[in-house]
Amino acid sequence: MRDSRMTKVSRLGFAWAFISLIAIFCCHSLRQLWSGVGNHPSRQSLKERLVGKLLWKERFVDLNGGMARFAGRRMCNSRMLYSDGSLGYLYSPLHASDGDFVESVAWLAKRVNAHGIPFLYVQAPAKFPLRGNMMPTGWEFENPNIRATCVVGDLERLGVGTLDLVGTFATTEEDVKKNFFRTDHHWRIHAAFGATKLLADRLADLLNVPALRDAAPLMEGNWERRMADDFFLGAHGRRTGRFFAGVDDFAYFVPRFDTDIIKTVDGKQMVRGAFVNTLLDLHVLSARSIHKRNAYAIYGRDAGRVTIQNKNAMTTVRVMIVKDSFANPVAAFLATVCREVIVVDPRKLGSLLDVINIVAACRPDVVVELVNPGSTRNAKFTCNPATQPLIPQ
Amino acid sequence: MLFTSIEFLFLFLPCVLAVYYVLPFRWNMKNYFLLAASLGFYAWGEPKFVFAMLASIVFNYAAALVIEWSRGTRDPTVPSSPLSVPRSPSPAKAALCVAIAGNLALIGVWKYCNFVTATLRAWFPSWQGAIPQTSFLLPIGISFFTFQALSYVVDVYRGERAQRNPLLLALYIALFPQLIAGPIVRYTTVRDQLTMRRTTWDQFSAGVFRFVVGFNKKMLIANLMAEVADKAFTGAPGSAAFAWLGAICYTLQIYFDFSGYSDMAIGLGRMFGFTFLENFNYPYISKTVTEFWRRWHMSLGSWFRDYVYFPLGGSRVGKGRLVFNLAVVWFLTGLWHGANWTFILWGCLYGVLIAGEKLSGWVAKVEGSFTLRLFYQPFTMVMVVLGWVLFRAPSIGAAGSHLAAMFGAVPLVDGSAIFWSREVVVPFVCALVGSTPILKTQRLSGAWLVAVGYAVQLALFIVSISFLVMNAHNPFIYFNF
Repeated sequence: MRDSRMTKVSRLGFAWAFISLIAIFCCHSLRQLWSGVGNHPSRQSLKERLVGKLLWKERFVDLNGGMARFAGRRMCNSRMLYSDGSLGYLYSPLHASDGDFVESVAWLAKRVNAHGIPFLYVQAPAKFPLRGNMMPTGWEFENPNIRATCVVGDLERLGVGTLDLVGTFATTEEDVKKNFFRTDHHWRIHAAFGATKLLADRLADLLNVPALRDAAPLMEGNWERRMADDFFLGAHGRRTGRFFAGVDDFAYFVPRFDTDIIKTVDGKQMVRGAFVNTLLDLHVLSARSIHKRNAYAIYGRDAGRVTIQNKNAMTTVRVMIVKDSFANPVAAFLATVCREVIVVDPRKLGSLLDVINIVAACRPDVVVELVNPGSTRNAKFTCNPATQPLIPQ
Repeated sequence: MLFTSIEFLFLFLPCVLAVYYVLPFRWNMKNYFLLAASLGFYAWGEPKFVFAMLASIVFNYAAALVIEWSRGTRDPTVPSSPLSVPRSPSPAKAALCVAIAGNLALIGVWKYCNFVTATLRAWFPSWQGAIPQTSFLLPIGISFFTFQALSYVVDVYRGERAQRNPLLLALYIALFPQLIAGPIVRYTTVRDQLTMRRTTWDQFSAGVFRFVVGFNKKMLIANLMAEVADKAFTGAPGSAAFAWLGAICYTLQIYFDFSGYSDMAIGLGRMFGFTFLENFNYPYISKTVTEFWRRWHMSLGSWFRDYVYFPLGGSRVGKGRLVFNLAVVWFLTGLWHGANWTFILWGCLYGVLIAGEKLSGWVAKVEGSFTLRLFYQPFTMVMVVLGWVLFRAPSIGAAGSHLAAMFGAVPLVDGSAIFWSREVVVPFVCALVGSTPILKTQRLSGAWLVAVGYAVQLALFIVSISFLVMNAHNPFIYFNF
């Protein structure tokens, strides 16, 4: 049967659309490759460059997530859509032990104590209810907060001081919905602020500094809350697009009181000024594309060592925080009541021994380790205590 | 390089198409460029093994010329056939044997040496000192291009004229659309097309459409079915429902993966003016196992039929010899698919089933009786699914565990079955419908519906690209054969 004219036209139109599409992408890809000529010309780097710089990549991510949602899927690009509509990790059971991590923290505590400095382990919560289940029916998982609670218990048995924030911020589904971003694994800024208050209260007892308890700079009324609707696509959301789980509103806090802060990053960059000019990076809010807008980094990105000095601090307390990304806003808020906050990220350093060296060099009043349950399986937060000397060299 | 990769789709293909259609056909410029592009395509993924393929091409080129010279001049009025014998058999036969041995040595060393040494060392522990465990890497597509080369030299022995231009022979063997995962193209199919093809816009457009359909099948169905199948075949399934779900998902995965790839290969061939034969014909509607193998991977089935089964005597022999012929063919078919006892067992399963159908005359009975078809067609599909369990499992023990789970050794339902059945219900239903010719037989009346069909495929192609962007790694199952 001869094809009708319209069929032929349709087929030709289809072919032209295909050719045009691949031609556009080809020109873009060639331009990207040309601009990277001379830099690491391996096949793998070429592939990475092609994928990373693909034209309309973010739109494709959005489309992929949208189609997954349309098809009724709960899993997209290794992220799960929880029952409250938020995105999270799969938390597949690994049946692994946190014993190495517990031993490492205990070892770190002992090494810090050997310098005459108190140590406090602060357990940040994971984005999952301690009592409850947000996973789809049938999905086997390992509750990260139950693991975290066990870690706290083990550390307490080993004589390490602890502050468990899991129960405060992630007991029920409602807690998780209130305190965590929809499209990111981090806690919201107001939750980090609340955690800072709890930490300050605990430090008041630990260091016998009553001024830290209920300190005025940590009262919410002394902060201006700024809000942007439908503004933030978190780490999970950037993997699944805007249409799989939506986007987040983003609220952050700016102090209403005067501040004079000096911030040094990795011993190289130094800035001095008010809180809003030193500890608040408003540039992260200015990216046009929501996919590139890492709003959570507004209170600082991860770096090996950051030193924050507050010239107007109400106390002379010097705190060192050994942290993962959950402590970024906490460090900034804590700096409003402390003379100095030294922030150390083992993921950016060589090992925990580097942390010990910094402790020995800086001699803070207290060392706080603040991590989320995900970091207990991170090799950078563990060491082999059997091979590490307990007595400082 | 995969067809479903960004570097192929947005770099290699448009550049090759552009240069190809700018070059004139004179002096074989298009062909030589296509050859260079094909070698570059293979070298991208296998930079060292491209020399092995070139060596194979040179060897087979020389072998064919020697066979033709030894054979003497062929009577052009007598068409060559699988059963034709040259007038001067002995020297030509000797040359053919050398050619076959050389090709089989290539595939034997790279593909089967590790398996043979591991098996011997396991069966005879006292020989372990004498038999070192080899660790050859498997060149991608070796089974396909070696079988193409084998078919070429055998066809020359049977009367086909040997290709005088080594570069054109190289193009036939190394042509990138069918190089790494078929279909296995016979030299006689493309002989004239190598020098006398022309592409019209209609043919080119048809090739584009075929390519896009194959691309969509791979990205939107095969890869999604693979998610479930991979989960089900990692360790023993926890429930019968999940075991069956995994097996059926793998059944759909391998069909859409392989037929999708074949569609892309045929479509790409057409874009460059080549017409390849079909490789699949809706195998999952087969009424008998015999019919299944007339619809599944047709280029491989016809290759074994023409180069192994018929030379052994085919069906025109006594029952004992028939069983022997089928045993050889199906043992080799299983072995061709991979160096593992699971593949051999899979092949033997089909050997037994097909032998049973042939000896009992079952095929004719089923095709003539609706009642028999009602029972036997589902039985055929169940056998196919169980066969795929053998095919997919990493070992016979794992296959046994999976089969045991399917037939009640574990609880009926578990969380995985519930989760994954909900998770992939949409692509699963689409796959079931797409594996039958329902949509094809409902001939779209009205050109505007055809236009809608094209628009839908284009839209699905854009969705497929989004999956491509997200899934950096999505190899084809038959990639490593």
